[in-house]
Amino acid sequence: MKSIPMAFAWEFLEHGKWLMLVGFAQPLLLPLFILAALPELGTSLKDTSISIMLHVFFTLLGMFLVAVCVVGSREPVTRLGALPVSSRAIVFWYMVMSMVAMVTLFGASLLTLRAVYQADWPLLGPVLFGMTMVAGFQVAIWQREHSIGQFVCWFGGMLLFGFWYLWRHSALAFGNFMWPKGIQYWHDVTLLDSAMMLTVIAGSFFVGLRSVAQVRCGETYWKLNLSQWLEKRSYRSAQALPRFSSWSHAHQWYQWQQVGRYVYFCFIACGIMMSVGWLLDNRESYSLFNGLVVSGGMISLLAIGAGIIFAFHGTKDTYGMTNFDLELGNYLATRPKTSTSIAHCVLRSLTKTLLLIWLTWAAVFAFNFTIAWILGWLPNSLVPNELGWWYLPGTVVSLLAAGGVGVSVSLTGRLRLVLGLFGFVFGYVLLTALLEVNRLISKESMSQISAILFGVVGTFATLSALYLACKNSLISARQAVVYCCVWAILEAVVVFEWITIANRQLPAYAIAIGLISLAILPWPATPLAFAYNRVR
Amino acid sequence: MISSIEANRSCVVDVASVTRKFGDKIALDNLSLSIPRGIVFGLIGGNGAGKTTLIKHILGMYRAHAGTVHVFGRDPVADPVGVLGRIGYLSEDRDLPNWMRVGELMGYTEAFFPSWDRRFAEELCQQFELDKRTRVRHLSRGQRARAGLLVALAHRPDLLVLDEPSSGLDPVVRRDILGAIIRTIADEGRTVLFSSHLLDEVERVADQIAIIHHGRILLAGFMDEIKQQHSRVTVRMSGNSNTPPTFAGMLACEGSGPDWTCVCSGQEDQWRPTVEGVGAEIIEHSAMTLDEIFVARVRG
Amino acid sequence: MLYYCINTRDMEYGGGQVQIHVSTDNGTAIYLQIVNQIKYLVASGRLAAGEELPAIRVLAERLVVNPNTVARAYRELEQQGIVEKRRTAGTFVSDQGSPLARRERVKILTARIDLLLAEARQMDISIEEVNKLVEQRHSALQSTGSSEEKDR
Repeated sequence: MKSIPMAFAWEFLEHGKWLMLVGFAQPLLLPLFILAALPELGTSLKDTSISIMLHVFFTLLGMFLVAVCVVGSREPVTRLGALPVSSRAIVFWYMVMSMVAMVTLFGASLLTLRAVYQADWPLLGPVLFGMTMVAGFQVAIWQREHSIGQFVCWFGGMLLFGFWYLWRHSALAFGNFMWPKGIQYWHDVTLLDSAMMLTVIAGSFFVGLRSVAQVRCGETYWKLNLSQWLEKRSYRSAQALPRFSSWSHAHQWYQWQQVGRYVYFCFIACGIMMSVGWLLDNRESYSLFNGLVVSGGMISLLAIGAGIIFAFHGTKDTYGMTNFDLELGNYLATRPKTSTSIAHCVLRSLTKTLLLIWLTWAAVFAFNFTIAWILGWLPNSLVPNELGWWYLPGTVVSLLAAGGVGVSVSLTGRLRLVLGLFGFVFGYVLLTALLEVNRLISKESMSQISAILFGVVGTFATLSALYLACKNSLISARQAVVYCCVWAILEAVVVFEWITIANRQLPAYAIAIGLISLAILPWPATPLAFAYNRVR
Repeated sequence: MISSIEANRSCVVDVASVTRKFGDKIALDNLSLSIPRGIVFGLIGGNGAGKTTLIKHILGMYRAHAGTVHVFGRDPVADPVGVLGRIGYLSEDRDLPNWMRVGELMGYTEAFFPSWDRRFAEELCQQFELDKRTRVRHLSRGQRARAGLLVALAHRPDLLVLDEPSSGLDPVVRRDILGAIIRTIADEGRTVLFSSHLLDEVERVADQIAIIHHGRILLAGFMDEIKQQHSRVTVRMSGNSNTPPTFAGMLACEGSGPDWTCVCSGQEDQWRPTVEGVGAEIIEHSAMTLDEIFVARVRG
Repeated sequence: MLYYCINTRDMEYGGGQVQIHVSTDNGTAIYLQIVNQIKYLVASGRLAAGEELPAIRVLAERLVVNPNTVARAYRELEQQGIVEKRRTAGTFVSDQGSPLARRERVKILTARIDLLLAEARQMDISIEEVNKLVEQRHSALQSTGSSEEKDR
């Protein structure tokens, strides 16, 4: 290493080579995925409004993803504080290297996309804009290293600058924000564009220089003390010593305090955001109920996430999260209780949280329903015909099944397993999309196969979890019999329904059978997962 | 038969020829160890020697690939309630729920242990100057260790397991921890197992020690015996030979010319004749510190 | 290296200042260090006959050593007749302690002189010179009036 820039460049490439490979691949994956799933779009990426919208969306997202990877490849600048390098050199070389990396990676991604789809997407404007953004992004990260307040301001500024990109495509017209018409590609980079971008880069350089200098000597101009203020308030009102009647009570309190309440807040926040969206958009009763019905299914997605973080029992967290894995912390692993009882305790608190979420959703639904009924605004068909009244129990079961799968996979404490599951699902969806696009299989038969596969896999997973849990004497024979009975009764109801009412199709029943199995799954599977995590 | 059961009963921890691998790396290699009741057992070894792995086997957090582990005569993997309920454990990284307040941590831990002594917990809390309303993540390193020690001690465990309790702590907190070990052992029938690489502390408080290296036990026994059995001998070789002396019981040797300083194991009347047998004159011999014994054993 | 200096004087002892140091930087076993130092304290009269020694647990906590080690030191002292255990009352310096004092004092001093002589030989200083030096130091100390005995 002959010189400082060489050393920086070597470290940048060595430290970030994998991340940058991801940075190159990421902007490709989503367009490939969406364009594969919607083949009618993929055939003509020419000068149409949809094509331009997709271009704007993909390039903005791609830019962001590449920028995250590039900036993420850098070591924190605080570490450089002790080196005999001027702040000016650090900022200059860091920025230049990030910008070069951005241009290379993002340019390569865009070129690949253009080649694959023979699209006439412009290159120069987006790449230059991405280069400008990454410079700003890098500065935001430096701000972040010592003051959240400065970070928020700068980051907000950069987001505002992002509107330049939309404006350049004429995509920023009031009234038709969601689906604008009359937009165009950014083909020519004008003098104004160049001046604007140069200004932002120069501004970033000087702000970055100041913030690196600040980080180096640890001074702060102003800091948002909100979290400290909150902490002081809660410190004053903190209870001295909570008392618990039993350990299970104590642990459910633990789960609620650590995860449950945040999951619930998250659900409430999503609900409020959707309501605001509805108020801003059209305020029609039809779209309100449509949204409510869809969100009954959407909370299952939230439940998967909830399940995954419910199992998150502290990493080796001495000071901050240094080792990102889901491995059980020593403190919890040495609680003097059996793996089964702890796992079931976690599962109970998850179930309680999910049911609370469902009840809240149901209450909102019922409230709106009543008001609309009184006012006579009720739309004709609320839920799809194939579902009928099955919709309500269906949402509960799918909620519990989703949460159960999430917590069972995550409690194993193997990040690889969680990522593997996601990868498998993603891969499966991609595979079916590709099969459909290439007309190897029709859409109907594909969805039938998927549904039956889901039913079979769900049932098989549950039964094998029951067998394994019994074999390892993690659950008693009595518990196993109870789970089997509940499972059999629920399945019997579905099968009965299937036999008696003839006009419904097999796939729906396969899905129902699979969902019921998966709702039972966590009871035998979480003890297995917890024991697998605890005893390594 | 009866005598072996009797022997097991007086042994709190009984590890019998345990082997454990992580991938290709052998972490514990056919390791056997037993810890009798009512003593302080010091486990010493370098970084990565297998101390934490051994402790995690005792706590049932690792499953032995070969061999058996018994704690209080039970299998810690199969019976976590019976084993962990009688153990107080402080891990090396002092893993505690960061978001909890100290008071909440005490209340939460109390729920798990029927034998929790509320008065003792309060006493420790005051002695350690812990503020019950502070969050664990806002505690300093030393205070965090004290909080961990509090929740490990307050149920008056039969076996206290401390993994590197003093690493990275200032002398004042280290003294608190050693004081806790001493107070625990002074209560009749309690046992302490602790690992450390601060050999000065081990020498002060341990009754028995085991030196562990590359997953094997190099040396185990009572501290006094171990210290008696090691001595440093300075010899002068007769004639002008510049080669180091070799004799039975020699562990390590350094020096040059005719004078060599050797570390011998065994009693004086054992090595003295052999040293004189190879034609060396004993100039001086002295006792060794545990530190020196450890280095000699691990290097040798 | 940790080095603890413990003052064990308490109200009820009433005697002179009793000091025990334990260190692990020489190879001497800790129980032997305690034995030797208590013997020294008894020999030099700083622990009088009939005076009570601190309880095992108390001394262990103060010295930060294993209580079993202190117990072993007390046992050793008891076997040598320096201290005696009185049922339920504790450990006391025995009455036979004082007759031993003179011999013990000479023994301790002999060990130090041995060390001095060994060092003198290594530095090639003759015994006459050492004697002269001892005389010189003695008069020098007397002239400054410092009669306080140094502990180490």
